[in-house]
Amino acid sequence: MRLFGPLTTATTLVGVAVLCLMAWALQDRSPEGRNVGRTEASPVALSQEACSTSSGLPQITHVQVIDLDGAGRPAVIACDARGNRIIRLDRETDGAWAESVLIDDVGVPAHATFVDVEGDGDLDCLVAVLGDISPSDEAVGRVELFRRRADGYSREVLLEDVRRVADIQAADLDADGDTDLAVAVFGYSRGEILWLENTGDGQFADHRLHSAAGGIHVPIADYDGDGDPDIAAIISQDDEELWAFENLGGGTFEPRMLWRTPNFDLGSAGLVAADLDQDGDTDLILPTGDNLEDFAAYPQPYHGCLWFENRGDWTFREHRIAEFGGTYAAAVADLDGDGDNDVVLISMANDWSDPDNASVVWLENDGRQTFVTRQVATAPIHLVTVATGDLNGDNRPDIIAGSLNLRSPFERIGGVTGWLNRGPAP
Amino acid sequence: MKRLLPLLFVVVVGGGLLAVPGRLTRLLTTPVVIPAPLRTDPLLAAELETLARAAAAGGHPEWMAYGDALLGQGAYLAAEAAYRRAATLAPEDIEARFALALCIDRTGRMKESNEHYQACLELPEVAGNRPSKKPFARYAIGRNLLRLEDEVGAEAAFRQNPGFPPAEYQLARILLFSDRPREAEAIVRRGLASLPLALEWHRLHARILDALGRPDEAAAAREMEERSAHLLEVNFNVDYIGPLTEKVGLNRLFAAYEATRSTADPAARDRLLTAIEAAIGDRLIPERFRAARLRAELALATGDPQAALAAVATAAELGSSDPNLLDIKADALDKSGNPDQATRLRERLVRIRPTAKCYRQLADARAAAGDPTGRNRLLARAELLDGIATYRRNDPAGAAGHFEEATRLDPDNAVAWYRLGEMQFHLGRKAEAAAALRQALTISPGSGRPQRLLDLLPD
Repeated sequence: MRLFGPLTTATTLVGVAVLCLMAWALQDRSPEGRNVGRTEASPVALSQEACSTSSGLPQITHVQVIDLDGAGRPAVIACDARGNRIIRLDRETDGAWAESVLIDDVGVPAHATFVDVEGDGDLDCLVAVLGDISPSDEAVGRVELFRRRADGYSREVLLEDVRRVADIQAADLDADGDTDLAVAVFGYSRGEILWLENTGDGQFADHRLHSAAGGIHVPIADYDGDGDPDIAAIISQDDEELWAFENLGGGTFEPRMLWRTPNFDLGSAGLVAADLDQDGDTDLILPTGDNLEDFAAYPQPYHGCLWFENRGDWTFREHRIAEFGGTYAAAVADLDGDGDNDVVLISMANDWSDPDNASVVWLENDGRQTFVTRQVATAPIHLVTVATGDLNGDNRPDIIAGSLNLRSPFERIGGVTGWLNRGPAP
Repeated sequence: MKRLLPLLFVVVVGGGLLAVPGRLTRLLTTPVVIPAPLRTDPLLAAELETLARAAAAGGHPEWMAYGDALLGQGAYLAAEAAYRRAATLAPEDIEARFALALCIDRTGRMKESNEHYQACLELPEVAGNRPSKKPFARYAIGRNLLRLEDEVGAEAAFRQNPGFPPAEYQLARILLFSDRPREAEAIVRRGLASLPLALEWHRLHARILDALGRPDEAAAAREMEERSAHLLEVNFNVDYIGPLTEKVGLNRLFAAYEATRSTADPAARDRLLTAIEAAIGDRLIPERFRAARLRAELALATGDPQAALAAVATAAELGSSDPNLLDIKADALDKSGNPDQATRLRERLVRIRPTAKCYRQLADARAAAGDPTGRNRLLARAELLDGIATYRRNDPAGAAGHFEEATRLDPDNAVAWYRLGEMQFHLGRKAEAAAALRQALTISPGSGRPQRLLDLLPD
């Protein structure tokens, strides 16, 4: 008796077919739209540190690295929405982090901007007061100025009776020698973009530039290279639009819609002004992945990062430079020290059911603005803000990020987290 | 080759038997894998497990119930599997097909989702009073095409949905952005005729009027946007999923607790709250803060300010300075004989999140301290907040009364004068409006809003 005859051959082939079918039927099939940013390892060594000591479920809305005292030792400044305060985090020489309250009792701060408003040589603090972390159309927003004093800060309300304020940027917009402000009133169903004219004696006159809900950031730069500061704004609520307000001089601005998409669900989450391609003009970088309007967020195929290349004459060419689910913020720095600009992205709403999905990535620039996504971390999650700066004095840009723990899953909790750049990975 | 067949047989079958059974066994024995994000709710796992077993043993209604529970928790992929099973068991059920389409929609598979929404259009309506799913399915098809940046396809889809306000709104937007503002305006005017206080219609109207070069009318439309509270169901999935969130888990208990508020039976509320607190334990989840706030509220309502303070302290230890909690704490301090501490806390509170109630309490404190001017200034702020809320309810006459009172109490409050002028403007009292707006500008020369409104008034 031949044990393995034609019958066995047929059985084997049928077995192969059946197993292939079963494997197909039972495999973990990801949805076609899945976009989680799981990528290759980073060629730069980045060591992670928890910077803040906040307990509970921190809601950090903004982080930045800044040398407040001019002492050459940058600190991390974070807006703590849950604690209604601005905190300062200093990395001591032994590597430990010291946390202190810089400004207390400020209602859900969304953004802090340090600038010498008074012209007295120190940095005052402008706070964009959201007033409510939840969707709200109430007039709970404010523009608050905290004037730097020898013993701390003194508070002054520059604008109230407005909806939720998400961002304030400062520049001499009307060329009269003092500091004016651009303000993003995010609101909810209604909102606006304003500029506040410094009229002297601590008074600011508000001027409406645009009426639309969902203004997040208003980066100021000389986008058209004519020597005066212009204002850009990203609108993200019902409409997904990128606007510029060209400074015509004398306190007048011409609105220009630079870009829009019919995809109302894109989820624009911020706007960064930087010369990404180092060609001498200011480009715009747009992280996309906000889907807080859903009960439960899920990464969408169009989440990631867009680079708007400044081509001159108010023309900005759109480039999609990363796909990364739930992208909420971007920062630009030369992480690998090769002379070109890389981009760091963080995610608020990736698919957190998979512990291997990234919460932090960086986009390695090959020098021709082609980017490779490199994974940095999978925890903490729910990150909404990121900045770069030299935290430990080694002249390498480090990464700092903040978590907004609003949504499930309540795990891999973080407050303010840093990734120190240790140079090339071994 | 034939000699290799036995080896191939052993490798394929043996390897397959080793590799596949784990997943196969799980599939056959465990109808449900609770998604990781849901495990932070201590009640959810058991409740979902029960629903899953009922579904495995039952039929279409059980799979629907299980899908609803999962969708309400945002577990789109798990819900998709449940609804798919329900749709297989009852291929004519439009509800199952629609829910399946929505799960696929929210996980970024627009084309596949549209196939299921399209299938909904072929299915019979559900008997009874439930609103038809078909306009929503047609609308969702258009939305998904917008997400795919296919404006031409989306326009065609929205045109298939006449009389459905969200679809007409999206159609008007497409028309505006494709240089057809007049056609867009006709749609908006129809929309406003049926829903005169729909915010989105006024917002879009303003943009269309801008595009048509009619800035005065655009400004008027923007003012109407301010006082329009009705929202179109542009993002219908929130309304669809919202009621499902309270079907299982801690949210089910919180919903039950909220339902007891009207009965005013403190003992029943205490029992429910105790059950919630026991379920939460020391888990670090937002529901713990919510329970602490409810405990503080209940303690205050039942005359136990010390228990209220203890509940607030529990939340504060975990880093929360939620204004609602601080407000309860201030009231508890008052009731426990610490009015000065309460006042200091309220002074912080109005910096963080001002409320009319808090301003009035601070005004009482100023009056008690013999400071009538300070009292009036604070009362004026309370009137301002009340007036703004009244205006948002489209009651400019009622709001004007509050603002008038605010200016009487604090004649130096520029915002009160501006708001009074704004109301007079809307009420057609041009002279009174101009006088109030000028007063606002006299007090605060830099204020842009009164100037913008004055510019709309005849000299």
